[in-house]
Amino acid sequence: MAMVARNGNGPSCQQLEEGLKSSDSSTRLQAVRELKNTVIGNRFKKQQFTGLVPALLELLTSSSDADLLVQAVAALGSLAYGVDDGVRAIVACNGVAGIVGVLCSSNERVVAAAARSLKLLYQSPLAPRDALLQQPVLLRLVSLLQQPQHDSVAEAAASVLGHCCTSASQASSIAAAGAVPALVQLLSSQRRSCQESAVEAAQQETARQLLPACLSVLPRLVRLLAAADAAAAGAGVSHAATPAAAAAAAGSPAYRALLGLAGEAGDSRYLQQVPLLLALLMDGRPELLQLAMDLDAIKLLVKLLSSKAAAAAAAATTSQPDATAAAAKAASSSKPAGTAAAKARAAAAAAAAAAAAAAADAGASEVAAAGAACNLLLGFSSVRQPLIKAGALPALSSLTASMLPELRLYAAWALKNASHEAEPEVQQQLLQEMSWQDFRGLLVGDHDVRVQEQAVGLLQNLCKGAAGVEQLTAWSGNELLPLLEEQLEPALYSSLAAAAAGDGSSSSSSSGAAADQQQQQQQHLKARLDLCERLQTALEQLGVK
Amino acid sequence: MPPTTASKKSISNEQWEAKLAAVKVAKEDMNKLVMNFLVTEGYVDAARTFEQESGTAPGVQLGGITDRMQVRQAVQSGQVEAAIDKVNDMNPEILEEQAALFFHLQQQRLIELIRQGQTEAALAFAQEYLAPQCEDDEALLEELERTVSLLAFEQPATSPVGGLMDVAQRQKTASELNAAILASQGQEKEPRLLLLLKMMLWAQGQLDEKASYPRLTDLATARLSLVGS
Repeated sequence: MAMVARNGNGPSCQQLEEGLKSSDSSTRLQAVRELKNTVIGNRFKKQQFTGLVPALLELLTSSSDADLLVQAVAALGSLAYGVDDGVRAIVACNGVAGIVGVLCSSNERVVAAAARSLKLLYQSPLAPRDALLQQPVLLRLVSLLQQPQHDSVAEAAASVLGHCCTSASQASSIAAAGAVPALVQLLSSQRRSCQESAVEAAQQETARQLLPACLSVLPRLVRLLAAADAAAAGAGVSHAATPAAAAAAAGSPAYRALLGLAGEAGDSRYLQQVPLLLALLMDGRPELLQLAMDLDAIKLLVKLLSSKAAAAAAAATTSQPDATAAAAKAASSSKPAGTAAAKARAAAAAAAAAAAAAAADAGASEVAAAGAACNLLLGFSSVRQPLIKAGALPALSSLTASMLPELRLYAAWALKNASHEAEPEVQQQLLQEMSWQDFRGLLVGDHDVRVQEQAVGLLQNLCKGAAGVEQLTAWSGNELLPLLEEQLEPALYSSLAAAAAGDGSSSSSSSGAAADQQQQQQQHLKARLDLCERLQTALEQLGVK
Repeated sequence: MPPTTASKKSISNEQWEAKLAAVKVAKEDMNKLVMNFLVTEGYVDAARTFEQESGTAPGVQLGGITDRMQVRQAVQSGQVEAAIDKVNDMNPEILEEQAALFFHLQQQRLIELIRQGQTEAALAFAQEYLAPQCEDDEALLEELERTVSLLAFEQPATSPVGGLMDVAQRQKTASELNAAILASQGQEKEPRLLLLLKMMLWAQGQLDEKASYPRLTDLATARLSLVGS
């Protein structure tokens, strides 16, 4: 059948061109078929035959023979795949219009072939995006999304739309054309390739419209996330690898996206989209949250967040805070379900806190993150350590200087919880991270009384703790006592008295030496308080309030 | 056979039969397994008949199976170009994206040329189609060299690399292509029945260490070899 068998040499460009332009229809068909089979999968042959693009396009526009059209459009798509010159040749001859014309054919096979070709063509950034977002074409593509029997066509359409969706306005055009319900359908599909295409297409505005999606969508998304994660783990390349090395090792697009290679158009889309979609779906819906927990989604999100937080060069997008908020929300609102889950939540909150602190603008995400950290630093001591190790303290300390009162509140609260019965190292770290000036600002200068309360509680814990009062005094640059004297309001005083009295129960887990030290400190503090009292009495006596 | 230890539990034939009888398996599940087997292995007509007789949905487009079987048969009979043409019509992305598979198909074409005694054509083909692809891949280059070395022998089939000329090599290539098509259709490569059997064998192995009981030694007949026999 093929010319190859005869003498081993393949057909030359000239021979094929002659065949394409022959007046005999069966010769034409034979030539196109041959061309198609020669170039698919063969990079060198594609380059060799790029010059045949005009002839192929000519066939597309002039012929109505279904078989010929199928072969011709397939050949075109293949010539464009992975070969820039091929794409350029097609664009130069206004080839997109030609292929789109065929896309509107009434013949199913022709449409399928055209859709696939577009999919291959649009993997290249050189293909013109806006051409596909014009009304009749866009509507056609969207209608192709809704092909339940023809998964591959729907998938190809989703992939093409995904590649055209690089800006908010493009995304809204696509959403406006009614793509979203069909994308939801695709997401629920059995085939992973369909799901991946749907995820690529579901960006920005379209993503928000996915909210009413059914429960079935969430497990798919998690599985996609897990698959991408497994691909990343399997390739054994660390997240901190240089883009070049990572690109060399990269397999699936999902893996490349997972590394968040900044600057490569389209690669981080996948990474951004899945967490965003998950976030949107989990937002405020406890049954979905629980489902996500059961599916280990949190663990995966955490990994994602840690890798993003670690890779400082990763493209910062508006979707990142949402993903953070998702993890944070999930972390703070889900019930404890075993240490593994707790650890995952801790790590989630830690990563969230770290990422939130790193994020440029304060918003709901940091508040949620701080709130989550707050809860997790509380009673679950097994979870506190990982959290602190992950750098929660510096993150929280910096948040205490935020403009948002909620953020300061939660940050202070979280620090208070962290310092409660904390190990000496933790207390040390706390004192290191937090400057006296900042703390003083919280304690006395904050307009929000709630923040002040938390600050007092923090001080209380610090006093109770293993850090000596001398150390506290040193930390404050000797300002601690004078400040306390200044601020001897009844509420403050009683809490200090409580601190001084100090219940020995807090030292139940500490060593004997620490307990001794604690007792000493308490004696010190008691002494100082006595002094304060005496000072106050003295001041009163002097008629000064 | 695992050694009999004192701690091993002993289950009598009657006890075993009773336990077996107590396990319920739904007929629909069995039907689905059979259908899955027929579909994955490519028995289209049988699948259609089974669908009619049992009311079990095939789950896939039977037309797609026919195509896949035609591809498989084409490779198995040495008509590789026809197979390539067909698989490209089914889904051009398969060969676009799987370089190793593409290479193996081209390699098979080369083998067929050698089998037909077309030495010059074979060399020209190898040079034009196969050599460029091996530039970046050492493993493929090695395979190419092995294949081309067939030409050095008067009787390639009896040479040290003669295995390449076997029908088995065609089947290997056919299976590789078949698996790729299944994967592209989002289907599993093996029938689930196979997986079940593997699991059962594994479970028996686990149980062997803990008990003596009537074992399944003949998968084809599912006959139990009774304890004490």
